[in-house]
Amino acid sequence: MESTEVSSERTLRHMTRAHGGAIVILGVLALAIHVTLAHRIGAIRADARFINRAGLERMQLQRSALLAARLAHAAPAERSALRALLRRQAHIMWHLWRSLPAVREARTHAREHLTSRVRAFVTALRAAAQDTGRTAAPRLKGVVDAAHGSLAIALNRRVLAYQREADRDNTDLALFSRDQFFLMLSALTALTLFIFMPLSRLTRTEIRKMNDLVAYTRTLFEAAPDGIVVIDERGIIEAFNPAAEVLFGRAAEDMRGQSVAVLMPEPDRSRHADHLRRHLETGERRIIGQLREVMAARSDGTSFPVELSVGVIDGRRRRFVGLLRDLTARKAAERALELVRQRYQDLVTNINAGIFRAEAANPPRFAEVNPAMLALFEAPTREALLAQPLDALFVRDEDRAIFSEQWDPTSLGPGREILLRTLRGREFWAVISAVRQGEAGRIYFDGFMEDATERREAAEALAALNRDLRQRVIDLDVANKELEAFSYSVSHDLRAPLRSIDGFSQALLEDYADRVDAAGRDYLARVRAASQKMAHLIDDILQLSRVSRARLVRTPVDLSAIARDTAESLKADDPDRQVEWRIEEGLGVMADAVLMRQVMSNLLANAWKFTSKRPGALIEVGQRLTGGAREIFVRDNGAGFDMAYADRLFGVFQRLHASHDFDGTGIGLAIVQRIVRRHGGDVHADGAVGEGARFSFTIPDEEDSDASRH
Amino acid sequence: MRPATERCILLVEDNPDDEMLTRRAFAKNNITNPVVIAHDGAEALEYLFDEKTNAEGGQGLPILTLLDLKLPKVDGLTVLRQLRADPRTRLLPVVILTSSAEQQDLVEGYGLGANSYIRKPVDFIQFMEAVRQLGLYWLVLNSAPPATA
Repeated sequence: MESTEVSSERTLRHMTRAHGGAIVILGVLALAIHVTLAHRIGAIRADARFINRAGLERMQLQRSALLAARLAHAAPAERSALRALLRRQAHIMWHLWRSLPAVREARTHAREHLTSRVRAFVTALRAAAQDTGRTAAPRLKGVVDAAHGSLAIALNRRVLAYQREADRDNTDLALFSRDQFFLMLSALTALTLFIFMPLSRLTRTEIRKMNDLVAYTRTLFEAAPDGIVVIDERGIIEAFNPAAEVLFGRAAEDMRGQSVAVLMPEPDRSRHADHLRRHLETGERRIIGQLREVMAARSDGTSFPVELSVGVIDGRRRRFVGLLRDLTARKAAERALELVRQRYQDLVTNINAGIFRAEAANPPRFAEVNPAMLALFEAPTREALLAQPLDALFVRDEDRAIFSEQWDPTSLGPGREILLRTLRGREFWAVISAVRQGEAGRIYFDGFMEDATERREAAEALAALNRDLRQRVIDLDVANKELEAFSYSVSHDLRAPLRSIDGFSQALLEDYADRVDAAGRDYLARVRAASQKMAHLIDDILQLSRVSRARLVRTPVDLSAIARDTAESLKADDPDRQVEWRIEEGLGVMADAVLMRQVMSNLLANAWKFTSKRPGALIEVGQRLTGGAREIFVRDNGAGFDMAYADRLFGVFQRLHASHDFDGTGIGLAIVQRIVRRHGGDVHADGAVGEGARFSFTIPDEEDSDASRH
Repeated sequence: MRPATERCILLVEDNPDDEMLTRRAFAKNNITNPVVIAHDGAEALEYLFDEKTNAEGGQGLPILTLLDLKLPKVDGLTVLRQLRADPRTRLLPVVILTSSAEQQDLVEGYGLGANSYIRKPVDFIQFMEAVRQLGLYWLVLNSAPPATA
């Protein structure tokens, strides 16, 4: 476009010069021809004049002879008038002669000869006119003779000479005209060849270029994705491209001739005329050549942001070209982007973790930090932190390489804690996580850091706690081992003396029966009973401790089957008793089979025992749902108990009945409770004195409570 | 009842009271086999693996060994383990006779090849009954493996 313009300008200058040259050449040529022609024509005119004068001179000569003849024969009254005429004749003749130039072909002396003859004649004429005497007649006769004689012939010749000169000049003019024609012809040919033809060629090229330019411009105008509006100096729209039609929702044909102000929303619409006028008056280029964001109005009255750039066409008339780009989408995107940016900015500002960008200079420094970083490093201002060389902040030498150019952030293992120093000198632990970024030849580390001091302290406390716990576990293991050893020795060593007491008491009874009386035998029997009772107690205590120590292995257990087995063995021990058993089928639980057998046997043995003094005894085993939990129960209609002491039932060695009423060690229910609780369940007793008792327990399926294992 | 005097019973028992009561129970139940006493595990092993025991004219290997578990020097389970490891005593009937009713002792005892496990009851009457059944089974009903296995 630009080059086209430049070449076009050059062509125009070239054309102007060529034209100028051609005009000058033609002008000079024409002037020369004019001058030459004027000169030639002047010469021919002069020739004619001289021919006339020469003829006139000859005619005056004849008239002089006529006048002289009349004077000679005139009456005396007429003579003075004739004489005056004759004198005047002499004057005219001399004057005429004097105005005649020399003939170019004649020799000078010939002319002087003729001049002297004319002068002589004129003198003679004058003399004849003056003479009134007697010599007048001859003088007149002499004049008449002279006039008819050789002078007349000479003057004739003279006329002929002038005619010849005129012929020559005419011939010259004809030749000159011919030359002129050829000269002009060749000049025109040269001009045509060297100036006009190239010029027309150039012009054709230029016109084609201009056409291309016009097509190019039109295509640009029509295909431009941006709206293009051209207005004149008064703000009247001259052109409106298709993109502008889409942009404004208006048709180009409607817009041409309208004021551009209709495309603007208020208040721009009202001000536009002023702006335009001011621009035209002052030449102030407020908007020309700049990108501006303005509001534009659609045909439906809605306004939208556009980017406007205005150009000026300084042609014959000044026009303004406005290029408009819809910014709605860009604005929306910018707003969205700004929103996201703001969100991230808020996050970075408000997050309770240090976020930074460190530059790996020498020494490295922070380039950007968020407020949490200031708090972390106890920095009074951002500037103070940014100015701080970072290598001085690392307490340990091996950490100084961090943020240097060679530093690889991945070399920091996850969770690796770095000992740092705040600007006030306080030391703290931090976890640093960063990525390396190269930007414009510089190396940055972007990342975050968190104060790990508390976490570290917590971890240390936890470690201490763990150590303590491990120690306790060890202690507990030791205690357990001791307990086991104790149980073992109880089981072994405590029983051995009992065996001796019992055994030798019996031996005494057997071997010395004759020497021991009834009271002695009774005492020995009591010794034996007591030792056997103690053996039972020891067994029960051992069982109880085994319940606590045994491993819990849950398998599906059929309590109904266990209840039946137990009932059978109880019946077998005392076949005479009449007891009604009601055992519900399908009482399944997920529990330790060995322990559950102990539970059932304890509960059923209790029921069996406490119904022993009642006729029509009934022992029932079943289940029911209470509050979503399934409860297994063993119910009897035996002696029952006072609910006031219900909580004491499950205590070790707690008995609610005198030994002489119902024997037992008072450990059975304690074992039951311990087993049920180890399964995460609970056991509950209901009853009333004389009305029976009901023991119920739950065994949750999930092994969610094994708290009493140890 | 077949006379069984020719072979002895080895009683490994450190408690003299228990030894006496056991002997009494044997006597009361007419078990007349000679009883060899070992007061700890080491004595028991010494007896069992002594040349003289197995030599001509010696006591020979016991027809039954009653083994307590809690013993001075070498405990009963170790004695059992060594008996079962030796080809000579591998098939020797061994009954564990102990105060312990610990599950682990039971399991371990049987695991090491005990032929029976009897817990000594405190009640002497019951003890007598247990010894009677023991003698009946092991000394009368059971066919012992050859003395030199």
